[in-house]
Amino acid sequence: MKKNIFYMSSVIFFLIPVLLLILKSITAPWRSGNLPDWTLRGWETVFQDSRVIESMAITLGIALAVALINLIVGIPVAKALSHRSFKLKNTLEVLLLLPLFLPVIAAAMGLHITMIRLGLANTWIGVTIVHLVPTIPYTIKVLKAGYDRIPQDMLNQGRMLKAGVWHAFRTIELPLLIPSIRSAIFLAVTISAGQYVLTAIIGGGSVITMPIIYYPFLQSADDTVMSAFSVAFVLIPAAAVLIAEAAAMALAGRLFIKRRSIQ
Amino acid sequence: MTLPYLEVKNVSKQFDKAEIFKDLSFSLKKGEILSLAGPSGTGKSTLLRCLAGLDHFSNGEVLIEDTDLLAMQVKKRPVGMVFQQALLFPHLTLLENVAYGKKITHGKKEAYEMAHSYLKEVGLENHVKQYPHELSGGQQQRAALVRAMLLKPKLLLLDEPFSSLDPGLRKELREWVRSFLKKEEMTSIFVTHDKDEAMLLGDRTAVMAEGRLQQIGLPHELYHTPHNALVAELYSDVIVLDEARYCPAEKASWRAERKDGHEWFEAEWVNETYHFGRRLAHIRLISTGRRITIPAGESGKEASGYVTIPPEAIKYFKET
Repeated sequence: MKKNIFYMSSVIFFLIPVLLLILKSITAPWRSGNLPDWTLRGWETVFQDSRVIESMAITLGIALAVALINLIVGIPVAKALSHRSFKLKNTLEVLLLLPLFLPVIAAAMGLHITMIRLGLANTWIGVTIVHLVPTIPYTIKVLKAGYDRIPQDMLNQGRMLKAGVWHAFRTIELPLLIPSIRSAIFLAVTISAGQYVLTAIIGGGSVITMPIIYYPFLQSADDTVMSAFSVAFVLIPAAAVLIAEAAAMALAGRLFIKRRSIQ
Repeated sequence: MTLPYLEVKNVSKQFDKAEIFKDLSFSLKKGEILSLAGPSGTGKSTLLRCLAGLDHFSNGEVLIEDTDLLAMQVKKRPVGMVFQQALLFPHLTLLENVAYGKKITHGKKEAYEMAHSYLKEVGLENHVKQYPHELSGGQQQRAALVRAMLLKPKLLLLDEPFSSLDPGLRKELREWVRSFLKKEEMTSIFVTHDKDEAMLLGDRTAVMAEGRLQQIGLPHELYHTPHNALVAELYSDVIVLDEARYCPAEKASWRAERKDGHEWFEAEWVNETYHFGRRLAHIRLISTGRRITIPAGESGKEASGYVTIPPEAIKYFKET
């Protein structure tokens, strides 16, 4: 019963809209009473613009860099918040969530001045850094939940079995955290790839990501072109997740593959 | 005189000014099993964690084979530990779990060979490829013990390893663990709050309460000659009369009337049970509210009456 509801809602809310989007990207705008005309015009328009391919690469690069920094910062913070007790821990947890409550534009304006001073304005590094603002709070939250599920004594057991910090991380924590890491990467990538305001302000028009091109396209009001563009946009998180999975597999090696095979 | 294998000297632990335990000293011979008994919250687990290196003593010294244990890093300490839960790594097979530590110190080949032979010895050879969630609680705990033993520690610490198991399984595992530890000549400290378990597993028993080692000795010494009221109440079947005197519970009797020349307590009958053919009365003492169990004999079960103690049965604590 529960499974059926899941499948039905997946079809209604996910599969049908996606299929419609793909269908619309290869047909001319529909008129009532007529069968749709097949056309590749939408895709041609999108990829004729030489900036699109380049911006896809930039978006993907920035999203992956953002995801990587998120993990590097998020894992130790999440571990400390979950497994250690110290004064003002709850306060710190709230503080770390605060960026989400701040209007993005306020953060962007403030950081813009700093970025100009540091010479990072109008560079992809600056954009990457500013994308950390709306992503790191989620990453910490997700990874903390992951660490909460690993009993502290499980890690103590690792120490008692003479595993060093890095060995224990690679062979115990990482495999057990994989589901959380996957969620964190996916969130960071989609949030980063979807940023318009932050990218526009800090990138200053020199860093052209997909949203920067996407929004002007919106004015064309050509359904076919817009649909093709949206489908192309979806490819970015999909590619990012594939790359992240491949990297995790290389790092955790055999363990990772086996864990997947028993699920 | 042979030197002790493990010597713990005057160790103390404070946490935020609160004293958890103070000036504990004891020593163990090679291959000896010490049961550490006492109520929960007296720092038994903290003591083990400090010995293991997961926590630190505030003061004191620990020598193992005459070398300073506390100066060694956790990674170098020849100490193994089994926790309350088996804590097998869920993403590894039984074999990989058991070989985990040995693999780090001696490489994969040797670790897997040794793990195989140990698992065979403990009757788990048919489960080597299974994951922990496919094993029963008892099998998991046995695997956890083997995993710790594989590193051949000089000292093995067991922190209530049976507390998450059901009573039947506990009994079975107790005997198995003792014979396994003895066969391996493993010097061990076994924490429990169960009196029977302490007697069954340990060569000697230490009773820890109120942050001190109250008494350490052979099971029968603790049972028959407790040093103070705390040990008596925790470990023995006696009625504590006051700071200095006690009486074995079997010498007390339940009466409707007081008896001349006998010590007496006003009491209330709560219930009765049978044990090895004897009828036992569960009594609540009116003055202190404590519940005690004494032989009921042929007496009736009046709602209220007296626990009487003949003067010749009264003994004195040998406080040292």
